[in-house]
Amino acid sequence: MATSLTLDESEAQEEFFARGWTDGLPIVPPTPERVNTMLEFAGLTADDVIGSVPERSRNITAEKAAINAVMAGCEPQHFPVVLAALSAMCDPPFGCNTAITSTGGAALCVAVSGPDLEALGFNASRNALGPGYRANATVGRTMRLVAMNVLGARSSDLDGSSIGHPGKYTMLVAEEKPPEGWDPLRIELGYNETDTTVTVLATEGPHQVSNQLNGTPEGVLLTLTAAMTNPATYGVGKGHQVLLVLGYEHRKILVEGGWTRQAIREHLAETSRVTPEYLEAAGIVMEHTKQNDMTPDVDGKLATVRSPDDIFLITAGSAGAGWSAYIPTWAPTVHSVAVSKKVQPEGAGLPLD
Amino acid sequence: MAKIDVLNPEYEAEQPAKVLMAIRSTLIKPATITVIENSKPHAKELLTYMAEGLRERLPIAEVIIHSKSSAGKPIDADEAEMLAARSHLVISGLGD
Repeated sequence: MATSLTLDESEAQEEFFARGWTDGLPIVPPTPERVNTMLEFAGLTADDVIGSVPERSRNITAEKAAINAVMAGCEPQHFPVVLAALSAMCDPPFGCNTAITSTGGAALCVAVSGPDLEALGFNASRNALGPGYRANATVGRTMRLVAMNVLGARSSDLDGSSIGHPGKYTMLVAEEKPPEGWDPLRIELGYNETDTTVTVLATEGPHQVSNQLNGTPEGVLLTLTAAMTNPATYGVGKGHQVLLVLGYEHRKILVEGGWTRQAIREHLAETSRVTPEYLEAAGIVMEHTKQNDMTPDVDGKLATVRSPDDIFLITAGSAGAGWSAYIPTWAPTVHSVAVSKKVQPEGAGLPLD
Repeated sequence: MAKIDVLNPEYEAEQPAKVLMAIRSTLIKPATITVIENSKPHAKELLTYMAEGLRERLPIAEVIIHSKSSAGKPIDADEAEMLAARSHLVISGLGD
């Protein structure tokens, strides 16, 4: 059980700042009543374990998750989404210890897919990756606060980020209902239409992708390929994963052009292959270590993604001029892969799968 | 001034029982040592250099360099068992 402090209400913010318990922004004081409301909504008790990070010999208990969710400003109805995302983060293939330690400075990016995200308060439309929506902001913020407070991922402790990026405060993408003819992400991942799911990826910040005048699917795909093959992105030519957020015009052009999601992923997996010479022309040195052997394949090229399954397509964003976003994972799949989990209904308790 | 109770958001570990140092033993002569390198660029070169320095100073017959598959992940139990079986001393290091 968590220890408690008794504070003057007016001093709570400063006390939390002084103790290094915030991300630099003010928090909602985690009173026992607020924390219990969160736990009761999820049907959990304080000591229930949400996940573990063995390399740090640490468990994330439901109580610590709830405390940090309250601090982030979460509403109880969003706590099951937080729990699913934390459970995914602790799944060994995600490589949590590395993702929250690396000099690369990864965000804990949460992609949410569900039949009624709007009713839950998530924004998937205008300014989909921007500010203004409590659910988007606070679920993502909880991930980082848990990493900091429970797992020790602070700049003064075990977060070794050289630069980092603003997505480390919060980073969540909610899926807009795909256009007619396309399934949502959760179906593509093997879940049911009625499920709500999270997919957690350790990522760089979003790279905005602009193509406003070329109305052909081929033109849009060329631009997405260009975004995916920026030699300055660490995983290019090394086999990482990618979250592609397809904006309104781009997805409309692709679906009306007859492109299926699978065909897009297969196409981009092929067109994003690069030669060593292409990377070397940008000053990149080929690595030949056990973890990154950049010996080209028989076609003389290196895979940026090793499989179409390493590309996650999600639709979000409102009509505009022609914008999408490319969000690469911060490192190759040998270190970390995306993990998906189903969000449990109110009061479900454990297990989280 | 209104008082409120707030809960600690940090990990709170139970105080471990007293931890003792591992038993120190004499290195068997001639010894085989294994150095685990973390597979980052230059880690192998750096740790090989250090292992060779040890060889000059200690009765070491053989130095084995073992590369991890990922700098971010620990070796698994089978790997650890294999390394323990073939080595008198295992040193884990990192470079970047």
